[in-house]
Amino acid sequence: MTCVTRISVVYANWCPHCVPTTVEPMKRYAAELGAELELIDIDVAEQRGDSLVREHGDWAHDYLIPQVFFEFDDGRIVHVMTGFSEGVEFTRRAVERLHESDFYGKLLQR
Amino acid sequence: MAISIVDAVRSKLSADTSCYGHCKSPAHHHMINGTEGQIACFSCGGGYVSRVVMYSAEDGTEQLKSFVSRTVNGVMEIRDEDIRVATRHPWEMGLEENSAGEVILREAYWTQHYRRTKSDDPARATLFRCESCGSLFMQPLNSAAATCTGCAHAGGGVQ
Repeated sequence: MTCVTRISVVYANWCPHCVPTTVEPMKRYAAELGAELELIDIDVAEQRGDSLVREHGDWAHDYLIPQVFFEFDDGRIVHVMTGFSEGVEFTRRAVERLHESDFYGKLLQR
Repeated sequence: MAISIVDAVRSKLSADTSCYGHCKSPAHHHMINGTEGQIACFSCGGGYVSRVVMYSAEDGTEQLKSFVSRTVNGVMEIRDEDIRVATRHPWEMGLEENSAGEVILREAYWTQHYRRTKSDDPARATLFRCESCGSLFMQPLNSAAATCTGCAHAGGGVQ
């Protein structure tokens, strides 16, 4: 059985889908899962946001944020959410649905 | 596209949102005729199209780019960088019970007058949705006719 060791959020401080909509709940989720929280600001150079999104997420030249990844103790990195261009309320609901999901529930049991 | 995906789009991705780049009114979700439930737009009561969205099992970037390029008929240039994508998982679409955790859906978005194409020109070429037939058509932003040329000629529209 693997467990989550890190939650990585690729985000920007000016983005309402990111702050507080996604970042604040992810702080709670990381604590709940006993995982490290890595906040990767796209406006700070030399961070690994681009490579993470390119290799594991929804890559585009001007990619959507936030993007959230769970890293497991076996080395797997799994994309779990991308912000909804439809609107902030859609993103907020997606963050809640992740928390309510069976996928997340099973991680809590590990 | 499987029926369950169409249903999921209707139930999870079709709520009203805010008009982007035009007014503060709600923008409504409309499936676009002839796209077999794969392409939708969000438009406000004034017909302004905030976004065009493609729903597909695989990456729909090229298809959406082609669709929007054809729709704007060369009046606007649509580049790869204007299209953005998102993966939707079972738990986001209310389909977790029937899945093995696979990716359910990919969305590709084109947002009007965003970033590279943003403009303050009140007469800029703009994509609208015809309130009569639901087709997308171009006109200057400050024209604001409610119907496409075909419907206006047929006398079925409201100017």
